[in-house]
Amino acid sequence: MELSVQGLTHRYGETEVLSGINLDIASGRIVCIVGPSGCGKSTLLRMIGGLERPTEGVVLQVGPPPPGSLNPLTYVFQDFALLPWRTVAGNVSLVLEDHALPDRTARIADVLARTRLSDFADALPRQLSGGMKQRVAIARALAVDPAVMLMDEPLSALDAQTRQLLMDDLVGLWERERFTAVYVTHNLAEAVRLGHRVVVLSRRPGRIREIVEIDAPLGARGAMEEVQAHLWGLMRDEAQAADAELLDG
Amino acid sequence: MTAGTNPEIARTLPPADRDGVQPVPFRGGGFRATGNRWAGFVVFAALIAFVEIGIRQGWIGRLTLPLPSEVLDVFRQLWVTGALWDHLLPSLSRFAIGGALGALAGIALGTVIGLFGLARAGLVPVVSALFPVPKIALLPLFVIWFGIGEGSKYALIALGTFTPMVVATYGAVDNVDRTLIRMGQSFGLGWWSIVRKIVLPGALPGILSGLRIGLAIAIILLVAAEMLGATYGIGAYILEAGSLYDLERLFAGVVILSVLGVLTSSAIGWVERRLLRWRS
Repeated sequence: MELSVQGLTHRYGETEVLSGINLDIASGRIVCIVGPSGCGKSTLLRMIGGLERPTEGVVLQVGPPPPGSLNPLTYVFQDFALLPWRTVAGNVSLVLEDHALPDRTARIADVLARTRLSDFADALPRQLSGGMKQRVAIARALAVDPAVMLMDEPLSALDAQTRQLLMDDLVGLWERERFTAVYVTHNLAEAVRLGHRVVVLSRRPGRIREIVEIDAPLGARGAMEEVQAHLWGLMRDEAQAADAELLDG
Repeated sequence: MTAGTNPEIARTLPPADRDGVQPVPFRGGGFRATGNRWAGFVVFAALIAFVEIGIRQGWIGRLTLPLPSEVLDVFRQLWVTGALWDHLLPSLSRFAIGGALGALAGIALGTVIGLFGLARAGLVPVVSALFPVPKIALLPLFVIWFGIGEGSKYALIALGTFTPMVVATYGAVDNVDRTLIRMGQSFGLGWWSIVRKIVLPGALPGILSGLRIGLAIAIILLVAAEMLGATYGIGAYILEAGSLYDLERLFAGVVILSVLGVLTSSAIGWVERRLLRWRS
């Protein structure tokens, strides 16, 4: 299954936040969306997953979702969005309970093993570090066999070291499962590490400034300083201007 | 090992006799909620002992307060004659039935108000109008509706518990983390699943603190209802003692109410500790 964003424009009242976005999301690849803060990248992600309705334009689902996918468009949120009153296994279970599955327990055990969380199945979220919480959220997303993972700054709430570890985890996971993902971030290092394509949005109203294709395989990438420098060159002035803007001006 | 015998430590210690060298003063103390579970009992015991001694010594008048030991004797008689249960059981069942009806209805309506904008717009003004009305003023109305028997007492206690529960519940539902609800929607959870598994557990802390207030009001109304029309019950007992100026029995009744309040509150505290273990 592929996604296609066509002519998407969005306004909150008078303010235009996204303008004329056209974007194809190919199967089995990771698309990173970067841009200065307030450029509407998270809004765009909410529209891609159907959590918000665009003012104009459509997001199309091309082809049927893979059989067995319980929730084709699945989010991983910045603040993890784990239920604090449920254990790790309970949080994964939550998203499976509405489906009649004969093997729910086995499925939970399987995703916890894939994210190396098996030993923490009975822990409560408050007992976990930020990085572990986000791994639980990733396990929960994997449990529903998504066609496309929609990741909204999934590493932004974590410290630099944990972020590095989780990036390695994500790369490893992608190498094994070749999932499709839209990955929103403001961190260029994450974008060049994880993205097959990096979409640079401009300041509000968000427009596609440039799409950078990165051909190097995910497993063999270094810091990719040249690409990072190029992206930063695209964003620098905009980021500065965005920073100086009044929030509701 | 003292600092003097360990050269490693001795070197790092400041020489105390040199001018202008002193340890940084500690300023971080206080402002911390530390508990001592016996402090409450000690204060109670001290107050009672103070009254007992004061009356026996004569610096508290006999008519000002009853002698605590005589109040205790009233309790003994109540226990021996079985009159305690004659009064306590009807009161407890009124409290339990009325309180449960009011709390359940309040949680249900509060949840509906919290979830549906139309219900909120339509019902919040009604609840706000009902909240400040002293419910006891409505007792005659309830007597007409539900009869002079138990029905009107249940209704009064239930109404008293209901209004604070509605307000607490819809406030608690409002405060449930929206990102969790959005997460539920993004995983395609059904409406009822989201309410049952995300909204209600998330609102539980607020609902339980509402219950504390609701049940305290229920005890107040229990006594009020029993004072106005009951032969048995703590309220009737207190009213009878009061009209005879029998301070010992009056205080015995008041003590029972206090104990009931403390027990209710600690029961809710226990439930909170059990159900809200997930809170950090």
